[in-house]
Amino acid sequence: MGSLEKSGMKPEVKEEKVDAAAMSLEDKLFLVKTKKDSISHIKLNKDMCDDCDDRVCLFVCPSGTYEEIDGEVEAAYENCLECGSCRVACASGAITWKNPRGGFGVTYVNG
Amino acid sequence: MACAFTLARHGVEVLVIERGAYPGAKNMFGGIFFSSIMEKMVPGFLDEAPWERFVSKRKFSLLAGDSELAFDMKPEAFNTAPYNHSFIGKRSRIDRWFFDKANAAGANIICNYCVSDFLYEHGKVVGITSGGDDDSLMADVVVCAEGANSILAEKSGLRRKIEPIGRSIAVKENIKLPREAIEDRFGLTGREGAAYEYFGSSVPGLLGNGFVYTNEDSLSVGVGFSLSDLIEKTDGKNPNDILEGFKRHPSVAPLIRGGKTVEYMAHMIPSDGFGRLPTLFMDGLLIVGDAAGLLNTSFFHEGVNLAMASGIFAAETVLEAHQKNDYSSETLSGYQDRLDNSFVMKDLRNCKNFVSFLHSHNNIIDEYPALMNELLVDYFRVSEKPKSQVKREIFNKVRKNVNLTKAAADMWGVWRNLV
Repeated sequence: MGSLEKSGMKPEVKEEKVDAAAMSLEDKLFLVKTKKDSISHIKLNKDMCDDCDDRVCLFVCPSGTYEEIDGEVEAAYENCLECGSCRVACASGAITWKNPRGGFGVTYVNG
Repeated sequence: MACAFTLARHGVEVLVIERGAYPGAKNMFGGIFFSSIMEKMVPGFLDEAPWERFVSKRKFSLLAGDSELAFDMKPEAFNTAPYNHSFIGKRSRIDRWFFDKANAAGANIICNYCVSDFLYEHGKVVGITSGGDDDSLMADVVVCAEGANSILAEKSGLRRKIEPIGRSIAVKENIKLPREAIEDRFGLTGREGAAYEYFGSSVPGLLGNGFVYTNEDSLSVGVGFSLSDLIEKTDGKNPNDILEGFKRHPSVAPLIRGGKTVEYMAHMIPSDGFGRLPTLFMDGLLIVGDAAGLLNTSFFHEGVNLAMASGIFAAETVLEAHQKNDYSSETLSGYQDRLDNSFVMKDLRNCKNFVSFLHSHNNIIDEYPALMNELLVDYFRVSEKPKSQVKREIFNKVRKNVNLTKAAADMWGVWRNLV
């Protein structure tokens, strides 16, 4: 309900209108209720990753779990949303993905 | 759960295994619960179940760049009970409510138990294990409802490793807004709800769509698209980037303005299609729901309904096996027959070409919507140009941009494969 007066005075009001709910992925991940296990449920075959030119895991994951650090693929398993897309997308089979052990991982409230 | 409920009601000892903290804790869906099957099982669904709003208003929208073309419907028939059996809700709430019903009928549950594999004896599934030393559970028959990330089905050999073309990926946000704001923006009263589906540039160049569904005092806003398209056509876009692009669209941004994102979720959706379904039974094992690939991949997006129907068919098959005391694949094959003779397989067969047709006719999801938008803009543009000339120009533009023989073939294809 922005008043006319206000929008007339502030030319940048359009930007404000564009997307009030925009958040960084990092901030969104903070909202997810998770219980972190001490053991990773994602294992990478590093030799296969080294030979992989595609590295689709770096972008297909909705939580950005996979990152390249000093040229090597690393999995921040605690950010995982358990969709399994990486497991399906990885053509080389370098990713061994299991469901987190019982009692660990994400709990969705609004799923 | 539909399977457990049905079995428990017939006095069969049944145990539900849940890997989350409670039923539905690991589940996510777009947001519309198609309830015709549920209402047959639990007639009180309409009055008691914790759904958020019924779907009184549907919109099918085609986004082209920053423009929108839409078809909006709010029929009186959807606005009265049983509300077209379409309810917007949250799995965490509905699943828990449904488990309480199954529990009252006699089903038990173990939560926080993650099945790592089936146990076998002479090739027959005889139980499950979480991989620990002494936590095996034995059963006459196991019904696998593990969902779209079908690890156990792969391990059992009933399906090959899932390929990217066989899955879509969906990400969704729950965005809080005051209920008055939702009702004003979507034109709703009381428990009426709106389900808006956005095709075209909601997911630029990808096979999929965006959606906005109204909960009681929040919105479910998300995008879902083919995983193989994401890999092959985006040049490295993250699903969250695509969701943010959708949220910024001028037709979507005002709906969520001022809202506060309270949760971000991701889930896969089966898009196996009729031709790539896994084998659904073997000695001592049945596969149901998303794990069985039972999802209507066309515009209808029905998943819940099909999953629940498959659960009931599995239960009926298990009851038959129970009577015969024979859980061999021969007896369990009755499950396949029940599915084949029902709306489940008939619908899947009916939409079997939907995904492959769109994959091979990309122009339908990007070129045609853009052109249609342009032509309508030309048609309705206010100017001093005589309308007869406007029509002639539009006709010429169509002739210039569209190969009419090909367009006719495409439209025939749309009618045959998509509608």
